[in-house]
Amino acid sequence: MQITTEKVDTTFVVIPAGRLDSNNATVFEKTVTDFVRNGETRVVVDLSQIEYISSAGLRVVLMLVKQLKSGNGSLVLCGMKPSIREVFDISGFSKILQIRGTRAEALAAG
Amino acid sequence: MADEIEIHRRIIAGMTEGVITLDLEGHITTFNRAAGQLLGIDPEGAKGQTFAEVFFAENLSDEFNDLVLRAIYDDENDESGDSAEIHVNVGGEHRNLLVSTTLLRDGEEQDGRKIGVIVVFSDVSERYKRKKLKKLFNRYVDPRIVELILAGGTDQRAQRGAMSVLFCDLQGFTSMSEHLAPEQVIDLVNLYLGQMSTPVLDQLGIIDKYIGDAIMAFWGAPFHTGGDHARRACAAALAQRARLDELRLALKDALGLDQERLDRIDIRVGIATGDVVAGNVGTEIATNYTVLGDTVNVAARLEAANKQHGTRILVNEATALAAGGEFEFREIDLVSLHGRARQERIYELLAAKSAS
Repeated sequence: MQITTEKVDTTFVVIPAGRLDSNNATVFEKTVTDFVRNGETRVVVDLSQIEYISSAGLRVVLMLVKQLKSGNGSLVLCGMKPSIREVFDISGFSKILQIRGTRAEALAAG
Repeated sequence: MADEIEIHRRIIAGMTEGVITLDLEGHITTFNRAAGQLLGIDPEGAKGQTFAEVFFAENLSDEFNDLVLRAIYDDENDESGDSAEIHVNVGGEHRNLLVSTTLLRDGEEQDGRKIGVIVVFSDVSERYKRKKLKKLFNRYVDPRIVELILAGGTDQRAQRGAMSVLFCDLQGFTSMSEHLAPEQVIDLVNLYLGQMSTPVLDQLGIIDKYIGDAIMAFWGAPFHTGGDHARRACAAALAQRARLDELRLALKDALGLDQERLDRIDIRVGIATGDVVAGNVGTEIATNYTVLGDTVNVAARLEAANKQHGTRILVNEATALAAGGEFEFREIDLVSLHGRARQERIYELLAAKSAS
């Protein structure tokens, strides 16, 4: 899995690509938590390059949201392909996470 | 319509399989009692909550959750759903669940409106344990005996019948093992047992037990019911001898034995045909399905008698008579086998008769 990061004003944008599953969920988690430790509080995860997310990937996203919320930060997801969006919807994650269609919307919401 | 839904609701509630349904927004709409028991989750607390809240808060295995996700993914590929055996840990107890997940649609058609996901699962721990036990058992006991025990067949009373019993021994094993490191001794025995057991199994014989470097095998009811037990035992013995070079080569590679020692490696085989009793022998602590009787003793004694006669495979008269049509035998002696009144001829098994 490839992970690209960008800084847009005060928001930290993470763009993972490929599959987010048990093989690389911890790498993804570490990348984001390292930045959060260095003071990032507003995080946008752009999932437009993600083809597949497993429950290990969902678990990490959930964990990061909790971590950021406890430090008065935020995490917004965006750019999901329809099949990924369906997974978030039917598993109920859309109810408990902030999800936006485009990155611009996510940046505005964060 | 309302009645029909109520009937379905009652059926699901009473099922022994766990049933969970999710709507399109991830709300848990069904969570029957069995699901609660199997997963250790309170059904009343789960209903109405989202799958994410209940299943990602609980430290349930990701395997379970992934199967639910896969029903959603697989729908893209026109697949009807997924099922797999998974492990879960419920309050410290290990369970094996067979889980099936399917994306529900309105109507039969693939293009029907999506309704949600249904998850059905059952506890297969017992079956799994049984499978594991059987696998473990098979390494120690002939698989056919395991089958018979699992089928309850050995609970029957002991059986008596004509069978053929074979003993195979590694010549000079004791003196050789004195010059080898302990792990080399084990390697030696394992290589030898492996090479010499195969011909028995190839001829449908049952390996009764390994006694140090000796192999005890038999052909007879309830496993081998054909009348050709003597012929099969003889064929196995000749096949064992035919494998000697292969065994020597394997021992050379594995243990680096020199040529002199390799040349000394040989096997002795004794076969006896006669009346045998088969059944469970032992105590509550250890039981063994085995064969007993004079014929067993004779086979063991014939194996040892090879030493005095300078022979390799000795058989009793009944074996030679029963298998005589297909093998060449040489009469060796007229002996009084210990404990038997009458004297009996013993024969050396030389070779299979050529087709002509």
